[in-house]
Formats: sequence, C-alpha cells, structure tokens
Amino acid sequence: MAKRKKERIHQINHMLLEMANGNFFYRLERSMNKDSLEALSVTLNMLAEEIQEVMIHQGFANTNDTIKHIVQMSFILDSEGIINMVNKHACTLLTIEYDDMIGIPFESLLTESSQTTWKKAWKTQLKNQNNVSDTSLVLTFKTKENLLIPNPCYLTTFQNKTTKERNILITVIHHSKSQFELETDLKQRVTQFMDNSKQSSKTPITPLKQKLRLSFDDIKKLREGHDFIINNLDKKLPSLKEFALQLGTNEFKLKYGFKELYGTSVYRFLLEERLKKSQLLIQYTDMPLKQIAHTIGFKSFPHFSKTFKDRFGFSPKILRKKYLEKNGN
Amino acid sequence: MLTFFENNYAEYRYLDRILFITYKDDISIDLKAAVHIVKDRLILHEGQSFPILCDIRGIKEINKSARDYLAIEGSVLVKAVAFIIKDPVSEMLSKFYLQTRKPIIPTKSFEHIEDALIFLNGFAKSAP
Repeated sequence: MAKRKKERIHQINHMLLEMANGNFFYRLERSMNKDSLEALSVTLNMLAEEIQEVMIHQGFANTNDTIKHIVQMSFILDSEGIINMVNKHACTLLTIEYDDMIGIPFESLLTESSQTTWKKAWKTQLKNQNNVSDTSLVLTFKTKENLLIPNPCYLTTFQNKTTKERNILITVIHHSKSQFELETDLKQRVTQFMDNSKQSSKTPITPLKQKLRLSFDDIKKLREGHDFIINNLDKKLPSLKEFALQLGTNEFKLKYGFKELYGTSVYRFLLEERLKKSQLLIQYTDMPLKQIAHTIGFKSFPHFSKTFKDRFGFSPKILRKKYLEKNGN
Repeated sequence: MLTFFENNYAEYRYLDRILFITYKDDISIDLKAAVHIVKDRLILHEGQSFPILCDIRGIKEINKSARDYLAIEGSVLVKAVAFIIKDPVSEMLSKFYLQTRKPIIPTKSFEHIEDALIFLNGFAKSAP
C-alpha cells in the first residue's frame, strides 16, 4: 500500500515537471480510489486540460497567430499490429528507447480501455480491402512513467508494394500556438545573452509588435461581464460604453479584451448564448415559441425566428415539430 | 409527470418539488454524456423550473467540454443546485467546478442530504 502511494506521488511529481516544461498534454491515470491523492490527480488533470485549452484558444482568438498542428507521434505497423517504424519524438514523449519500440505490438503502448477501442478499429481497418482508407479515433497512450497522453489519432491503411501486406500508418496530431513557441525561443535566447554578458542589459528589448496586455484586474472585470451576460439573457444589454462603465473598465478594453478572452465579440456572444438556450427550450419543453423568444430577450417572434434560422439552418417551428413527432405527440 | 427515470449515467427522482439526480458509481462524463444527462433532465421538467439535488459521489471525472456544457446548458430551468459530496475526489470536483465555472444559479456543496434539502427548500416554494 505504501509502495503504491509512493508510486502515485512519483507520477504526480512527474506530471508537474512536465507541466513546468510546457507539456500540458499528459494526464494522470485514474484509479477507483477516492482519497486525497486521487483528488489531487483529478484536479491536476482538469488543470492541465484548462491550460491546454487556453493556449489553443488564444491562438484561435488572436488573428495574428494561427494554430499550429504538429505531428506529435507517427507509427507504421505491419499486418500483425507490430511497430515497424516510429518517429523520434514519439520515443521521447513515451520515454521508451527507439530500439525497444520496434517489434513490439502497438497496443502495448495504450491504456487498457484504449486497447479495447484499438482492437475494434484494427479489425475493421484490416477488413477494408480498398487501396487506401482513413479513419480517426481517440486513443490514450501510456508512458513508461505511467503518465497518459489522450489524443486524436488518424489511421491510414495501405498496401505495402513489395510485401503486398496491409500496413497501417498512425499519425497523432497536437495543436499548439506558434506564438508561444516563438516566445519561448526568444526567451531562451535572451536568457542566454544575459548569462553571457553577466550583467543586466540596460537597453530594453522591445518586442516587435506592441500588444495590449490585460492585467489580472482587467480579466476579472471581463469575466464579470461574461457572467452578467449569461445571467441576464432576457434583458436588453446596455450600450458597450455603458456596459464598460458598469464593469469599471473602458469601451476599448471591453471590446478588445472580450475578444481576446472569449474569441468572440460581446454582442455575438450574447446572441449565441440566447440562441443556444432557445434551442434547448424548443426541444425539451412545451413552452410556446413566442414565450421562448421573449424569455431569451427577443421582442418580436419573427425577428427571433429569422435569427434562429440564419444560425442553425432551420426554423424554431420546424425544430419543435420534429421534436413533437419524434416523441409521438 | 414522470417521477422516476434512469439512464446509463444517473437516476432522476422527483419528490416534493425537488429533483434528485444521483450519478452512478465510477462514471466518467464526456460531452456526449453531458448532453444526454441534460436532455433527459429537461424532459422530466416538462417546462417547469426546479431546485436540484445532485449527488456527485459516484463521478470519477468530468472532462473540459462536459464541464463547459453543464455550466451553461446544464443550468437551463434550474432554480438552485446542491451538490452532495463525501470523499476528497467529489469535494475537489465540486470545488473546481464552482471556482472555474462560476455557475449562474445558486450552487452549494453539502456532505449531508438534510442540509442540502434545507438549502433547496428555500427555492422550492418560490414561483418558477
């Protein structure tokens, strides 16, 4: 028992070190336990998920950056599911030597539940006699240190020209923000420069492009604004100027910051949340459509109906009708 | 109105103007599960709003997209939520959710169902 506890703490420490290195894609393996260590594991997993999402989201929200898709791992398997080729990065991530990886079954790199998913996909893929066929599924890899990496995997089955046997190429993609890498690189170079000169640099290093930095206080106010909108979907939103004043910030910061934080404008966000709510109410309640329009802050039903149709491609009436038919009413 | 319902993830029981949702043991909730859970709950509601007692002691994990969905879509037609927690895992799940999602409806965690009911009864009487 004590040994198991020591092992779990070791894994948690390892995960923390990986996170300190900027690797937020690892996860801790969960057990049936419900003790404090397990609570720490679940929290750490959720924290890593949140950070990972924020990094992708900011790349998405900021048009100056594009999301970078990096091939994290790739494998080629023979018709028996044995690894014939693996890229170097996969060996580093899974902390397994290249030589140890070649010749072992691919499924031995996966967690137990992913092994089941994999076996199913493997069978259907091999049955497929098309020249080349593609599919994707989420698999969770397990490192030597017992950390988990859940990721979407793309499988391509193809026929090997010389051996005529079916082979599978597995590609694992990771999303990252290019700016982050550039900044890390810059930071490293600056630190090196400062170490070399052994003195604090008096000439300030100015970034290429000045970007408005949001303080913690700004972010807190923007979050309050976000919560206010969700809480008051039925009410008319004041003008952005007034709304900004109400939150204790200014119009520019509200506009810019909201987009930075949530990837959309204040009004678009409000509309999206209103429509999402109306969609649920149409499907799962018998509230009259006019009342739903009113509940989510639309003054006129035709206006609501048109906006709804523009967003989802079908009218509220059709959705209600479809739902009633489905339930045999 | 239906007073009992069950799906793969939870049991729903309606009693004295309060909806009791008890998650099954060792459940992992992803987006697909979250959508299912909310859909089944809303069908039970028949358009009315209720306070909800949500027993999360069985939940093993909830992933990010499910947390997002439950925080917003999951609060439609809900007057208030009382989470029932026990061990450190359920305690951290509820704390993490409350801290990061700031639910828009009154939400509190309790170790004892009696205390949760006192909290929820205050909302059960008010108009929808």
